[in-house]
Amino acid sequence: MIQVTNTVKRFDGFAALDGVSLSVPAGSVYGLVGPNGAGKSTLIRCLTGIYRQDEGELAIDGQSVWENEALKSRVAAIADDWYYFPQATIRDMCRFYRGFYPSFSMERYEKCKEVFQIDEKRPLRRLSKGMQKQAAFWLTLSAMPDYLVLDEPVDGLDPVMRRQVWSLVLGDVAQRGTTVLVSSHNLRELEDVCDHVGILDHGKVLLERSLAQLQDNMVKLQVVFQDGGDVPEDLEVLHASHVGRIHTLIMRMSAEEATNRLAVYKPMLVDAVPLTLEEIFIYELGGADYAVKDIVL
Amino acid sequence: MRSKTSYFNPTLFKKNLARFWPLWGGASFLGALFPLAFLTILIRENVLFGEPMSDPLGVTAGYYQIVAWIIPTLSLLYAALCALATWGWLYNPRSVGMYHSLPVTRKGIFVTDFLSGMAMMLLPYAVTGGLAILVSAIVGGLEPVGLAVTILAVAGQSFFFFASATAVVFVTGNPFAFAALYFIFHFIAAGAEWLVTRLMTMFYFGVERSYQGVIEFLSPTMYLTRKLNVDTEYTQILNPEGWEQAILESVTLVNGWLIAVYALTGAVLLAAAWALYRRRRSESAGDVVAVGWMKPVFRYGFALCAACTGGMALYNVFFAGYETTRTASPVPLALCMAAAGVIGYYIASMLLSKSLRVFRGSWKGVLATALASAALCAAVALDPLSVESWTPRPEEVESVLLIVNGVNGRGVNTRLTDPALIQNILDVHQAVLAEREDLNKSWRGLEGEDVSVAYLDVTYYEGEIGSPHTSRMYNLPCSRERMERSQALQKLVALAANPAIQEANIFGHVYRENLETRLTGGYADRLYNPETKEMEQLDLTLEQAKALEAAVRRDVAAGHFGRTLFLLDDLYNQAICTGGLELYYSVTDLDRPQVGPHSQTVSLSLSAYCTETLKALEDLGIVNGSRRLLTYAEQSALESEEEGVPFEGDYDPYSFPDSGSVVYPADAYVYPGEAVDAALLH
Repeated sequence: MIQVTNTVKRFDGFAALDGVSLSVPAGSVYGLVGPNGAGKSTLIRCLTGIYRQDEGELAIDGQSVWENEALKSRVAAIADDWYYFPQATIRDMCRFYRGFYPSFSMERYEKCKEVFQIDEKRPLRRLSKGMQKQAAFWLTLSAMPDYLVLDEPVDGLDPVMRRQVWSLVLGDVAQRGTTVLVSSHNLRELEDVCDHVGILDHGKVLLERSLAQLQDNMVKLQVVFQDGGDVPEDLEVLHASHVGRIHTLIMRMSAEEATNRLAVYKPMLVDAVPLTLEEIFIYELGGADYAVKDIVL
Repeated sequence: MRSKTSYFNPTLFKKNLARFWPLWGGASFLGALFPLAFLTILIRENVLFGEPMSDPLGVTAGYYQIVAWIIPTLSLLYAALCALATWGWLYNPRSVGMYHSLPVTRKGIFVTDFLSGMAMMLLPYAVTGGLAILVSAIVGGLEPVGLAVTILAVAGQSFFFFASATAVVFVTGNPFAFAALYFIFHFIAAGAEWLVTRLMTMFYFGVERSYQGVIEFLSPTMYLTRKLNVDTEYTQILNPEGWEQAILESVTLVNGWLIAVYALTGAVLLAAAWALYRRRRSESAGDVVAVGWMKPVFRYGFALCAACTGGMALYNVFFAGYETTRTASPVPLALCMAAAGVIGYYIASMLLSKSLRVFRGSWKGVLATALASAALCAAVALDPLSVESWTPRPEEVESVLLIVNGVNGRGVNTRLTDPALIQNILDVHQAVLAEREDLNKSWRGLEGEDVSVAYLDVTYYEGEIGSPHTSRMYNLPCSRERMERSQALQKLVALAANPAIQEANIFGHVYRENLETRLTGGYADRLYNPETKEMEQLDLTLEQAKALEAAVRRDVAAGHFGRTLFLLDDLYNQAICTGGLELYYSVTDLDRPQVGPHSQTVSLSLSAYCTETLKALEDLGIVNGSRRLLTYAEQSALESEEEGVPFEGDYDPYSFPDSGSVVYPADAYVYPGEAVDAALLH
């Protein structure tokens, strides 16, 4: 597992990470969400040994990441701005990666060739941004890492290729127990792949939950009260709206508990509706004046 | 538990060499051209398989010359390219991210990249050297000690220069800044000394060339190029044919130990580079200065350099023209330096912050820079070390290089070792300093005076040529009135005509210790033929040359040479002859007999004062009715007559001035006064 504890990273006095703590369970897909400038990339660079944190601890499998060659050989990362040598082809980069990652699999490499269907002998600089991203996945997945750290990984990929890429990643998670930490500024993108989510803003983790926890802790109900009445004032709701006589209520509790609460008012109709991840975050954080719109729009 | 870490990564090493093969491959190709070209010449000349062209020591001497004079500069430049190739990834945030996320420690990257760079440095030398050794073996064999010293010297210099480039790499985060800082690092010491001494020359009368290279050892390329030398020793033998032949006995790379010292320094720099890398923040890629504590050093260092260079430039543009002295006034120069320093401060701040918005809140730094610049100016102007008034104690001086240019362009340029003459020169120097207020005048300060400028340049040496030395140069305004009142000028006139100085000036380069000199002939030049009205040249027989040399020596001993240096226009024209003498010599340097004899010439301008020489010319029949020596005044008269302009002078243009004991023109030497004549006689 990946454990980040009270991590601080400053740039010229500005704290890009301001006491971040989070925990990525082994074998999970952890979505790190936050608006631009939240500190996602900084945290990922700390986790991959690029930056050294000023305070706090970053550990993978209980070991500090910094200058830990053996540990880093089990961690592969795709940066937002993935680097390749200017004259290199995918084949050249494959040879380069193979020299560093002991678990690099040529068999996997050959299989990925069929998925990505890019000429491996073309210089990378001549490929489109999306194709370069595919090449990054191709090489990184061929390294067969135990930990995969992805920073805005599917930017520039078309929807079909996004699905293909996620399919490969989730396949690794399922078959090899790979732990994935993926950052994005867009919650919708992570909704289908993550089982854990953390929200980062202004260098702090605002919220960290498993998807199950989130869904158990919030409910969306459609309710019709007797005589077309309004939502009772003593009822604790995060959000209420209505269309005609149908009120839509979002409440921070389980569906069962909410139904019991409403029973007091003898509603004509109570119906639980599924909440999207986007809605959960809007109503979890919306009142705290955070830039939630930045991560859901 | 951590696994063990490796300090060398073969993948990275191979990648570095593979990526940058055009650099070391191209350098190897260029280097290989030289021995191959030499080989081609040998084949073309059919000497490849004949007699050996050179002995092994001769080949070693050739190697040492390359080590001493070519390798330092070549390594300086090539190390910068190799460092940029090897460490260039540090200057791009994307590549920094990739390298540092790879499963290799920073130590592993550092060691591997350094070894890659050293390989790039050494491969071209190895290729070139290998071919050169091959060709050397063909033409004359090899000498193992020389070869080993050469290899060590090349490797040592390569290591030092690449280590220094590596250290600079980690100071900055920008390739352009690297190039600038690398060359600044290598030349800052010499540059700073030059700047301060330039500032001294602005204030100190006579201090025109005070760069001494005191801290030049901190500028290794300059120091190595100056200090490394090749010393060869020859012995004379008689070969079977009975000819004397110089045989190379030994070859030494003089000061070769310096390379070892610099290599050790390179090791220290490499350790510093590693320390910088360990502390380096990856996010510093792109910064001009990547090390936090070096930023103020850079900012204020840059500002002070700008204060010196820019301040002097501003002063010369806006104020120098108004000065009545040749030296600068402290207040305007301090203002200019403060202004230039502030500009430099802002430029440095902009470079550091990569932004033009550096003005807000900068007043403290600006004030500190302005005050420091003005204080530097004041400190130099006050001359706390008494540089301006300094003259050496006679016992400190081993020899003096004396250059005196008179008001009419003729002069003395000779090296003197006689303590009495050195004392004479010191007397003149001190007299000039005593009259500083009167002599230190700019053209603006001399307005209203009809002056010509004489030039005195004295360099005091503590030992042989190349030993520590100090120079002073004075531009001295001369006029009849000034010559009559100035002790300094009168002493200078006397000094210029001093027989011993003139002897050294005329014959010093042909007759000196360790020279075997033989007079071989000569000619008399620009003799006027009244019949053809042409100037003629007459070759001298050896006997004529010997007789004339003796006459010249008599004139020198009598103080007749050097008297014309300070004659102003009219008297100069009447005293100086248009014609002169050239004497040829065959000279052999006994310290370098292998070079053999070479030719030297003594050129003599004659004047009416050279009575002994003029008489000898007449006695030898070189000057007679059909070949005459003319003064410039006589020549002008002739030219005027030919153009139909009557000459109103009182002499016969076809007769040479009386060459007896009476000096012609009689009043030619009036203005230095009797005191000078007395000094000359003394």
